[in-house]
Amino acid sequence: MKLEGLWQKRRETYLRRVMPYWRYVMSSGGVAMGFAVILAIQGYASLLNRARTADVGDPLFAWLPLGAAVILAAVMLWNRARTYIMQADLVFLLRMESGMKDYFRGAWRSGLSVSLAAAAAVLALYWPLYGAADYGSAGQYAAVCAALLALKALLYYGAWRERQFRYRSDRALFTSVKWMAALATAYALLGGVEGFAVVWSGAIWLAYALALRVPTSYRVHWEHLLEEERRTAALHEAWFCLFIDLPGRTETYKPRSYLNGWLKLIRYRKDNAYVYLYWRTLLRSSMFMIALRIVILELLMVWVFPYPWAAVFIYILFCWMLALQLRGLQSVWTEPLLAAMSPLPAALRSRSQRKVQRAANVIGALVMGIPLLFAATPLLAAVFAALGIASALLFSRPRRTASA
Amino acid sequence: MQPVLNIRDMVGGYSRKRPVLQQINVKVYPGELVGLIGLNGAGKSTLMKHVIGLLQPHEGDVEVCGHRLTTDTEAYRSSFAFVPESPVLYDELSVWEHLEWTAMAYGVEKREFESRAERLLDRFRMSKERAKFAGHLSKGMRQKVMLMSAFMAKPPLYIVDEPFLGLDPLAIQALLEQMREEKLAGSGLIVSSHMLSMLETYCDRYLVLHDGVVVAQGTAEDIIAAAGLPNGRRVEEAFFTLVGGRGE
Repeated sequence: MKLEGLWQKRRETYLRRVMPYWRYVMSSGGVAMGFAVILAIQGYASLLNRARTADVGDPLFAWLPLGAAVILAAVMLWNRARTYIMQADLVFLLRMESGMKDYFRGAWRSGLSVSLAAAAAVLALYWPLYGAADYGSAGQYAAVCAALLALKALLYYGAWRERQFRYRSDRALFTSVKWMAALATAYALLGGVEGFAVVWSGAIWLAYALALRVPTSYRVHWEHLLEEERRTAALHEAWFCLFIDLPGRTETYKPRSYLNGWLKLIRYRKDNAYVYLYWRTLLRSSMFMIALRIVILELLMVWVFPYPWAAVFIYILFCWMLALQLRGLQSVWTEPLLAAMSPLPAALRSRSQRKVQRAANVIGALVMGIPLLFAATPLLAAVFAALGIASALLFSRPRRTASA
Repeated sequence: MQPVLNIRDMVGGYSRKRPVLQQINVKVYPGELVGLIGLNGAGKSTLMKHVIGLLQPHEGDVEVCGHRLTTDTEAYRSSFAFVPESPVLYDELSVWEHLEWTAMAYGVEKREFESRAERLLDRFRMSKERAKFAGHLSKGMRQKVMLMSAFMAKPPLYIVDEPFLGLDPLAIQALLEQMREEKLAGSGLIVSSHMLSMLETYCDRYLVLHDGVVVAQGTAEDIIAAAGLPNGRRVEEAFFTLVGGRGE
């Protein structure tokens, strides 16, 4: 069996499978994504303008490299690798473990090129700001970019090595050290800091490269790769589920015991059985964490752009995103056996699902409406908060299923 | 006495042109444990899918406690508990929550639920795992959760498909004991398994299915007689004669 060809074949199969979903993404979310891009360009342009015109003592010059460093550090540490490893490989590929380098070569090349491209994109976006804030010359920025891209390549190699580590604790330790070091390095280089800080960063990364050999490792950590692949697939599905009901979706659940207090509020009653189930499904799914991030991001965005109509626009956009996300609740438990085994009527199930989806949506819309009170007039805030809640009712209607 | 399961002249399967099951007539009475035996592909799981309502018969009908799925869906579904061959659980629920959800769905009183849940957890040695999520359980433990959920409901009819697969010896013992108690309490059970020696010790009656046809049913003596064997032989031998002879 040609292992490199196998990875390529799996990749093509995966792309063929997901390609039709993009049609739904474009038809359902194309306009909103277009608006989001326009909003981002506008924000970037106003930031650039402010960097060009601000005085030397403006706090912007302190915050700018820090913000860019946070974004760049996140991109530097995002070292994707789609291995397409599956459970059956534990039987059929395990015996060929010594030759798995050939299989992973494709994943490695593809992941490295995408990761480098992402880092290069962030650096390209920061270039005009670097120049406007006068942190250094074009030549200096080229040197910074070269250093950061070299670091990115090291981090990609490191991430690959870390996937082989036997213990989760070793991976966690490396991740936390990498975060701090990547943040410090990016801040130093993007903010035009020179000298000792740069040398010190170089020493840290040299130590990191040497330390990669220390933890006990497997040649291939099959269990870890399987888990990582499952999480990546779930994340991709969560994205498509924003727009369409995917058949056979894989969901990942976390206990989140800190939310049990809320779950205890559900009364023990026969007609509450599905409400009991749906709240647990929602609060323990990745869907909930994405919804939570949407709410937090909206609060931050309104805080950054506290102008009445900008705030209203952000609110509407994020209400729409939240409602789409919570619609994913309609596509959980597609196993027909579960429905056949349940003594409860099917109508109660869909009623309970809509009830939970609506309640979560209304709570989210209300929380996101709070900053509107400060950014817009009370009347405007009240009208749009009411519209946000109304959208919760609109989106809790049953939706179409993917035919792809 | 009214049977808890009554299948009359049923023809069924996945395709109307090529039905898997032919003219099935089966009755299970309260307080009775019926063993459903047959080779792989004999139609045992298909028969169970018809009983739980995943498949609709092409001809004939299925009644559970006198209810039909088409006319009285809720009463029909509340009258049985099904344990599939491969455990189907909600990965987002803990062991305890599976029991609680089942109890809510079947309308079990809260106090009764708590006492039954403690008893079942203790019997199946799952007390320490009560807070674990289904996704983190071994296959045997998942099977135990399925079984405990079924016994939590205490319905008039249990439909159990290959319950011994993946269970450790103590869990098999606990399951047999629980089934005996349910039988004494008046429930009817239909259990499919390939472990014939195990069934032979506990079943009141047997249903031998081969190529979608009931080739014999009744007590151990009836099965042995249907196979043309003398009295005193075992059901296992009769089964081999019935299904082996047909295939030759």
